[in-house]
Amino acid sequence: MEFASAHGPRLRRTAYLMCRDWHLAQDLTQTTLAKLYMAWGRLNWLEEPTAYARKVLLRTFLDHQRRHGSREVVVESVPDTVHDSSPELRLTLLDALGQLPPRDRAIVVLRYWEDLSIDTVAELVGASVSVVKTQSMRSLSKLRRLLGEDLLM
Amino acid sequence: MDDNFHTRLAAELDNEHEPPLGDLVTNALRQGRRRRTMRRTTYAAGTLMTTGALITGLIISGQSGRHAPQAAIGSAHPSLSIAQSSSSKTPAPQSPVTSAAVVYRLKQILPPGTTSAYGQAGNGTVFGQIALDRGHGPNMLRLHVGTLSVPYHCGDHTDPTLSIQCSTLPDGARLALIRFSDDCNQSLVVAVYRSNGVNVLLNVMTCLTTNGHANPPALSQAEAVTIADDPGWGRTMDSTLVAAAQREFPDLPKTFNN
Repeated sequence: MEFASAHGPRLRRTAYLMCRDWHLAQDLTQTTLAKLYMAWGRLNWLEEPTAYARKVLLRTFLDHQRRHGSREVVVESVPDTVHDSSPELRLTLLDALGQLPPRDRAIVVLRYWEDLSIDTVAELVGASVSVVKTQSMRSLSKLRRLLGEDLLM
Repeated sequence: MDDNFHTRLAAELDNEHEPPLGDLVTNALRQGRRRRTMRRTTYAAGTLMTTGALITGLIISGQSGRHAPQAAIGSAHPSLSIAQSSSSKTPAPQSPVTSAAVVYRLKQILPPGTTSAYGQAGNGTVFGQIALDRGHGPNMLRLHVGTLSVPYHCGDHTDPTLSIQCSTLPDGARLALIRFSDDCNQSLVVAVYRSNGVNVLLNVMTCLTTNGHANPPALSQAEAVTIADDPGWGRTMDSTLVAAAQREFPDLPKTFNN
């Protein structure tokens, strides 16, 4: 209960960055915390709860994507220049993030929002370190093109 | 890692119309309790299915001759010599570990007795199950091979039903002995963490017996540590063993969730 109250808001923000829908983020977070509750007795010695929570959240998000398909429109080809001097029309980083495919977006969120190492992210998504590195670089490159600016990483 | 991305994202999130959390925590607890109840019902059903499979398996497999009943408990691990004698200077070809391989290996290295109730976790993790009867009735063992982290909380903590003792084994592996006083599925959990990242969990249970009675645990603490610390466990195991396991257990029942 204490863990859920303390970490719920942060988990939901991470979920939102992955799914870009506050209602879905709420559901994903609730499911994650429910699974944590079930595993709590084992967790106390098994692994650090926050790390386990991230793992469960990621799997819950990707499972949801697989079951329900993505209702998002992901831009596959990006125009050469999208930068616009008008601040009202400029794409936000959140919007640009939403343009990435779900799994790539999750990798970027885990790497650069949760500040996890490449090794940890690779273990979480079930991919090799080299795959995570390559996908991260491609995603950042896409974000830069979408934002039309240097995105310092 | 540059803070620019993080800072910018945080600023944009702050500008979002983030809805209140509402009953997130309460609903999560309620959902968790519901799932736990459903899981317990699944355990009971799985035990009934396992009992049926056990009876069928015993009839088909007959007497292997390898497991003599009424064996003395003092003869802890005669089959370990079999496992270790297969090592040679040239490493044998390896295959990814499977739950079937775990069950097969347990049959090789457990103390003498009658084994039964072979099973695996239903969620795809490498977690094998076996019951061992050393003449006092069967009781369940479950062993997991994975890449778990070392427990971060050895020693005293706030949960009175949980005790954790950590130490280092002679071979350098870290050992955690975990006891749950209110969970017979985890009466004793022996966790071995190796420096190569391979970790083994052995659940020595005092319930889910297949004969309807409460029987003594199948292994003593010392025996359980020896089994969990067996050098044969790994993320890959001898290909011959893995193949033999697949032939003996082509369709290992999924009898529990993890």
